[in-house]
Amino acid sequence: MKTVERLGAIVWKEWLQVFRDPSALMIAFVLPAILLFIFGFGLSLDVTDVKTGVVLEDASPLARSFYNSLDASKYIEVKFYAERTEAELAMRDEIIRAVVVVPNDFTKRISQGEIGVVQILTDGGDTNLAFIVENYLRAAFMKWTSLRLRETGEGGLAGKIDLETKTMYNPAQITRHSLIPGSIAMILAIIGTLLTALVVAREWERGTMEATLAASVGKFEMFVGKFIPYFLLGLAAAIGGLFLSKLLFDVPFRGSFAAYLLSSSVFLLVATTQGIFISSICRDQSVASQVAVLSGFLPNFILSGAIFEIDAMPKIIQLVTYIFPARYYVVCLQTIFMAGDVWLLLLTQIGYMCVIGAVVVCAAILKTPKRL
Amino acid sequence: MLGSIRRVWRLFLKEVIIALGTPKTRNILIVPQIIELVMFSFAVSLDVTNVRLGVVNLDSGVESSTFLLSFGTKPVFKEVRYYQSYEELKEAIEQREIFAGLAVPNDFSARMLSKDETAKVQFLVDGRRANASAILGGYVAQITQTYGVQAAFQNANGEPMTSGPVVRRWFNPNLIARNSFMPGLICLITTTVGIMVSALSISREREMGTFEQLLVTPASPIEIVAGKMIAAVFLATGSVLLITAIVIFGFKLPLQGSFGLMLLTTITYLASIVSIGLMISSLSTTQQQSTLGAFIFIPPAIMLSGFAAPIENMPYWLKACTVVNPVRWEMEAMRGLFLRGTSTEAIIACLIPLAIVAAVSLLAAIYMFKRRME
Amino acid sequence: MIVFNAATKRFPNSTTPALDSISATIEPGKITGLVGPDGAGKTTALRLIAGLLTPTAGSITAFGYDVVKQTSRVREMMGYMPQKFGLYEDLTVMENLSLYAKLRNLPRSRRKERFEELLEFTGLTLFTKRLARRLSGGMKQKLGLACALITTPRLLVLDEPGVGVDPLSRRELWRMVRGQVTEETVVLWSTSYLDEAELFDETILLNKGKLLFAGVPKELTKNMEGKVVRVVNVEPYERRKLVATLLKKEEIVDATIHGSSIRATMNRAFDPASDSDAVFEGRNVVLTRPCFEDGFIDRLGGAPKEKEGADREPRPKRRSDENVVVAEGLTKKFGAFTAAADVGFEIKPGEIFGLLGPNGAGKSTIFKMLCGLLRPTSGDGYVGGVSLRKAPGAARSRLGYMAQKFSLYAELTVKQNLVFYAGVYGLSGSARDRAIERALDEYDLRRFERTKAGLMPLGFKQRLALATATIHNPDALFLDEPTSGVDPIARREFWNRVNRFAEQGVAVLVTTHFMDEAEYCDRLALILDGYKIAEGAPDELKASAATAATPDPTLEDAFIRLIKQGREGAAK
Repeated sequence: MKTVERLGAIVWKEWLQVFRDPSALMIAFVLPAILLFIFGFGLSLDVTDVKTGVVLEDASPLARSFYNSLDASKYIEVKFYAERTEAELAMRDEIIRAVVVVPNDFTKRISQGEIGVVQILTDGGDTNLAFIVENYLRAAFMKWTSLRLRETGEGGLAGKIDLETKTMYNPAQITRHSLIPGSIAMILAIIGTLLTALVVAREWERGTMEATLAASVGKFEMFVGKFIPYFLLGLAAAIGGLFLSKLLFDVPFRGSFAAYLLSSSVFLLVATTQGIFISSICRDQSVASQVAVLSGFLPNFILSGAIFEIDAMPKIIQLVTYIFPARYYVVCLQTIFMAGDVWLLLLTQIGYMCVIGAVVVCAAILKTPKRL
Repeated sequence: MLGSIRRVWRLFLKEVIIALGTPKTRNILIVPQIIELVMFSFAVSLDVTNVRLGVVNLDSGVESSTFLLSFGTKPVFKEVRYYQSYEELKEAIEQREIFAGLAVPNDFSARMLSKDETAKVQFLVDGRRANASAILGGYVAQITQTYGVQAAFQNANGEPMTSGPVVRRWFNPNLIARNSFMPGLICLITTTVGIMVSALSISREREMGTFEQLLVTPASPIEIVAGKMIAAVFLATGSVLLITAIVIFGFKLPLQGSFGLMLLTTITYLASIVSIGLMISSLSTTQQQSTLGAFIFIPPAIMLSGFAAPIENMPYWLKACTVVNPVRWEMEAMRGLFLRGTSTEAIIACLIPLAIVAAVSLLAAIYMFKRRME
Repeated sequence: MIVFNAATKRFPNSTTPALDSISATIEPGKITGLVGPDGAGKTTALRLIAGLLTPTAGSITAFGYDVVKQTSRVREMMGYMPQKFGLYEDLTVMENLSLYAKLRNLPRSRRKERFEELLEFTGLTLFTKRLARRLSGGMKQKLGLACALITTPRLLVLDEPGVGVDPLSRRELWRMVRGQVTEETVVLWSTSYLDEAELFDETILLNKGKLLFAGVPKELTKNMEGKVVRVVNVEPYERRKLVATLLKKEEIVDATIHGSSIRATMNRAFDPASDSDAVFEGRNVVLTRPCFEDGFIDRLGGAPKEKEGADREPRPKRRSDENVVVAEGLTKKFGAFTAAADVGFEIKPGEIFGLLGPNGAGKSTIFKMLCGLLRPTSGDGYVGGVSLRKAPGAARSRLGYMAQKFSLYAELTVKQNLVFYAGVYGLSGSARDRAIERALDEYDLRRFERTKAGLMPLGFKQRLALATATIHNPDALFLDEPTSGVDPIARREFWNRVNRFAEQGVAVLVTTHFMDEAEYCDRLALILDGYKIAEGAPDELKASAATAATPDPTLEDAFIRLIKQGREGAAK
């Protein structure tokens, strides 16, 4: 009973403090909103309507028919250039990002039984874009070739394959839908880890921790009392983030709210405890904030798999991603947003987070101070 | 005037001595930057590799096996798993056991061999990772179409196809993601170090109490800001040059443009970033507030610079906002200098907005600094 | 009862222990003072009792409970007020009280009554809804005390409750704590104000971690009886010279200015017959009551004797009678709030002028306006005849400023600090080198030349601060509470230096809370609610406050009386 009352007092006090301190409000509300906004509007990797220059050095009907086959596509936007050099200049100045050249011996080589050669030039400055455009243009040329072969009857067998690509859960391949979950993970990490670490570290600096400890507050009460308010704040941010992303960015939400809350809670458990742990170790706001950014914010940004591909990282860094809960949380969110409640998958990911959580909670309670 | 210059020189020296005087402050200029460089350069990639591909082959003909074989040999795929049914394949994607799957129907071989029919293949990919699904989709389409033409050609001529599109990738022939990110990374590091050496410089003095002592000396606010700014630009430039050297010699990414031009843009850029940092610092009373200010400035500035995602993809109004973002211009200039070997005119086109932003933010910093003294 | 049994606390990375084998017993039913300058080990001792730190060796028990093994038992019966009062700044007065009541499990039924009692008692009833951050220093201190008293503790521990609080509030605090003492309670109160020591029932005197004295404070002063004298009616221009002369004599342990008289301590009993002429040059000398500080100084081996020839290169004396510092109708408004209203005064060359006033009265606003740190709303200040409004840079180059806290660059070495400040003050070439050399010699900083300023002992930091403030040979010296927390020896040394500057014609402006520091001043101005309510020599102020009940008031009495009068006047 005594414990419950003391716990209640600490929670109530933390709560008042957050809402009365402008810088805490800044971290709790303004920063998350900015991040969500920037992620939603500013961070899109969609490759559509890439400006592509086409140079027809051979103006025969055959070359024209290839040119026409390129026209109607969501990936590229064709611009016609008369000269190869002109197109190359435009490419250097980033006016266009790819060039297709149909050389002057195109018809001649085809008539000699060759497949025919087109030249594709891409802008390697943006590897993502270059790779997608290159594959698209090569596939387009091959598709055109197989059609031509069938019409002329040159091929012994038609070899025409119709590839029906079905992008599950995200037919239009809108990258924003995959990135938003990443930004929610980042927001929760900011509130859970950064804000908690800062606010608790400040108590050391201001001498209030000394007074609270002397008022016979125990380890457990101290830990839980600090945990509950920031956990709840994080949960509120998770709900707010979901609401905002639905409202502003029109992301789908095919799973259940329960699944969303469950996975967010477990993620926040780790993040908040991490924040308390950091502040118990470094009792200085500036050090605490640096550690919180390095161990909370950055891993959630880089190693979560929401933006950058974990599979493309070196083995050692891939191993590191397993330590941070963000990796599992992003899988959960992407699934809940786009695929729905795939419980088996979700529960496995949540299970991994729980294991990490257990370790962090033990460490934090051990390190929660009873003395200065 | 002479007295003024002398005072600025003293202020400058003081800042530099403090920054280089203790191992702790010295390390701040080097260690975080190197960590950032290494971490980002290895971790930041949008490439699709090590893909686990699922396959359902309902066709018993030779054609389908050779078709599927053409996938298994590609380095993009780490592993090919076989499933009995289409449902199993979908289930595996749902559980994220595999990222994508190919379903070959039972009439594939028959249709391939027929003159009039079109063989059908279905490609399933997990759209939860949207960008990766787009990349892989394009890649699989290319392999499929190439395979089709190759098969037809070989069948007709009895020998494998030799010609096809010739691809040249400018600026980055092997499409190494790291190379295309590296110039942006230098810019990112320049930004953080520039903010770091400036954002705390006034608020730290305020907290330590040294600030009042400084203000009662004859040094005027403009002299104090000048001393701090020159010192911060000087220190940050040193740190950035070190990182650039690591990039050029360690990561073997050659500088295509001129070194002088790079130095000039970096210094101009740092002048604007440092002014912004000083502005944050003069607005805050504690170091914590400065840190927070820096933290609110850096992520949006980086995101709206074209570092992680192209500016072209932004909505029109947001695109317009990037014009005043100095990071954007520096990003463009660095990419031009390192990757493209862009013409001097194009770099100067970036330098002009940078200089304008620098001038405006410096004036703003001085204004705010003076206002805080009222 | 609290028993220290050879308690030692040694912090890692520190060569000397913070507390060195302290044995003492603190009895209930009394207020026990833990007295000593900064760095004496007071806070460490209190934290050990609260179980916030554990002793490296030895043990401590409180009411029979071991503070390490039975920490929670001790904490349950303890009210603890840390330095800076331990209040949550973002919470209101009521919320702070309520928080500590809950943390200490005060039964809900008794809360209302207890809160009312404490609010009444601390005079905070009207401010329950105010955020703690918006309270004045004195009010914060009272609230801190109320929070510590919430469950009527048997053990009340107060860590420097009087820091940064004016004498008026300090007196009220005394009254309040007195009211708490019963037969059972142990009250432990730490302070660096030595003049407070005499008020305690028992005093434990610490210095550099060592126990210097424990017992009734009178005991310490008792053996000073007969040794302390006052040289009365010394003309202003003679005072500083006389102090210097007296200190050179073998028989004199200590000498300080005290209004118009000089207070001196001898190493033996004063003999009116022979000493008046032999030692005091035939002046009018009377015996006086010794105080705690005299005892402390005596235990430490007397006041610092001046080194012969320390001032090797005397500065040219200023021989002008023109006022060096002039405040002319200085007014500062922050929105609707007037921090300073039409304040005016002048300081002549060689004069030491003190600004006194309770916290938040506007002293520091006035001070900052005169340094050029704040722009006055109206009025103007002049330093060396230069207007702070019209030519702030030029005016600032004429003054030297020393802040309350150490405010030089801790990361720079002593030499680098001197070079930097000499440089910004416009010194260069050989003039700069000479000024730096002189400062290093004069302030005895040679051996720290290459030491980072932040790593020096407190006393040396203060020397360096004064050295940099005067490196450009200013016309005026501005000192903001220059010696709070400094031990009395260092304080004397500091004032000797300031006196020497005054002798050379430098005008000195001081703000202070220490009454004995105010006694060093030639003239004082008392500031209340932004207004100057009194101005005059210390003795004049004392005389104006004399009543039938207190015919010979101390400066503190005068201060409190004038403030009360001022407040009553404002109320009417």
